[in-house]
Amino acid sequence: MKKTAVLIATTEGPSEVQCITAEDPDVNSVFCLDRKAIPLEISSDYDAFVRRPTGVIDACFGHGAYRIDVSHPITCGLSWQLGAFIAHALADAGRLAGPGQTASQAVWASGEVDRALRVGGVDDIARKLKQSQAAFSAWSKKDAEIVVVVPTENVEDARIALQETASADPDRIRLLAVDTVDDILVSLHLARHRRRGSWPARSRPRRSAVRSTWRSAAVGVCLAALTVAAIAIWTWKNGDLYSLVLSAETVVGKIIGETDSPAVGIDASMIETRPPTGGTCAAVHFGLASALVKEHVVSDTSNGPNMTARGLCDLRYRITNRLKTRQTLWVLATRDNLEGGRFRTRIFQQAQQLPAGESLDLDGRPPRHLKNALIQEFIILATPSDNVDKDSSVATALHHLANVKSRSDFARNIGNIGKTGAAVYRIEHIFRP
Amino acid sequence: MKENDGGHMEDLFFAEAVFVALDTVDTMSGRTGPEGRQTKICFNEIYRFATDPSYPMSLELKEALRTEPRLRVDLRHLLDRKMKHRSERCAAASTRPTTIRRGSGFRITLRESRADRNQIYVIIQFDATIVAPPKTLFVIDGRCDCQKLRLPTPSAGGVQLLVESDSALITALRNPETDVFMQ
Repeated sequence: MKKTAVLIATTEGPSEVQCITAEDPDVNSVFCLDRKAIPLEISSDYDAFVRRPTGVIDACFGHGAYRIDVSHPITCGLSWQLGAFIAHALADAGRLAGPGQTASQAVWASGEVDRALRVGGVDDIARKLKQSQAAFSAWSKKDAEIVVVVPTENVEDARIALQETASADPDRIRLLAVDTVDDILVSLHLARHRRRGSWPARSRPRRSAVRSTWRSAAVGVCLAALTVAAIAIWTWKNGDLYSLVLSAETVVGKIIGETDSPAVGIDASMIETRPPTGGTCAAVHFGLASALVKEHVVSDTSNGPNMTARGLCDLRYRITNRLKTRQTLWVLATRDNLEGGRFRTRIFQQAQQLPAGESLDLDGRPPRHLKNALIQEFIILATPSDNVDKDSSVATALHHLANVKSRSDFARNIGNIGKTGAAVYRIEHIFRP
Repeated sequence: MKENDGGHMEDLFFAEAVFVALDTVDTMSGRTGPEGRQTKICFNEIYRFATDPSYPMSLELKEALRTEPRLRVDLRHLLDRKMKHRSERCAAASTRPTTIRRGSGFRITLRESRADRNQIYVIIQFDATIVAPPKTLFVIDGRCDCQKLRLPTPSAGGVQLLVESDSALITALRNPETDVFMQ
């Protein structure tokens, strides 16, 4: 496999990423120098970059504590973030070159990464490039391609600096301006290699084939009938009327939407990632073990409303626009315990545009350390994108719903959403420790 | 209550001044070894060692603590009196190396690094009730073999250190017979 080295640019010269290790979750993430017990001062910033809710690494790679070993000190600033993110992505794909491994490519990077995975400009690009000439020459002699990755707003400075100071073979250096981390991931062919479900695509719609409406509807109706029949038989045997009502509402709600709302123009599937027998999620995230990835149609009762949180490395809901027009989506998530005593809400997406046939992934993972059973529900609202007035009323209703403090109040108010004209899709799971 | 506290503080300042004066007298009239090295460690040095985060353990102090029982008693007494936070003794039956130390206002966890099993994370979490986080860590055994460490500025209510597993600090923290003090 083609290995890639990552050079984090500093004003004193590049610092090569030697390895990334997933540490115990109660450890704070650290940058260490040359595999020694020497944490760098930027470690607390790196921990914030990794750990939820501020960090993006945990959200993207499914683990909240890492150690990065680098060859040279990195003393301050945040421009290491882009290089660190790229190194994580390469490590996740099993392509990060470690010490002693031959790399056919070296990525030199400088840039800040925000929570939306946008890459922001940095200072001293010209100086950083100048200080990297010796490293470029060394990589050039090894016949490696050098990819210089900079934020778009720094690209002119970088181009001039490279022209003025080029000591390596210019044909081996490729300058890449990026606005988001996606730009570099695509360039490194990481998008195609990434494991399904191991990536949050909150801001990255994925293209998929448009399924015909009649086919989806027919499948949905059949599944609904089968599900209701199965639940009826099960309930008849177990005598639990409340479960029958609850389950029937849930399943039917998933398939045909709320009573007052128009037909749902989206498909949903659930992508569940677990480690192989005897493996761990950390091993899966670092490519040391092959994940068991299953994709279920959400209305498929085979996955059921109950799910064991233990050993769940990743859970995504993939929402696909199956209409031939662009839709606007809002997503609200709720969580509660089984007794209804810890109800809370969170708005995931507001007026997210989803072109026809494209998909949006939602991070549906429960908390990592689950002590008690948890009910989690995603409410997805969809409207055709040509109606601004409707969008406004949906947004108002959504915010009203997000401020509800109890599950019973939520149940009473959810009906109002359908009256706004938005199609409603609900996905519910109960996670058990 | 305030008057009492003020009186107590005055007593302390007075005691400290007396110690310094006695120490000066000791130094002026103190014996020196054959190489001219001072062999007598004065209380003032013990006091500074216990209360000044930046004051290191000198070789002389280490040797004196090893050989002079009176100094060991003084140091133990000082730490008992001056340190705001101290560990709870591990159960007497527990003689195995420990990875968690609990104390008044803190909890210390030792975690091996997965990147290198010979490196240990020392994770110190302070209770939310602590207003002024400690700046110095002492780990001391029955013979006053003392490890002193200046703590970095806490982040998110705690401090994390990365230390070689064969270091004296890790050996001391793993030993359930040692006491942990923080100030």
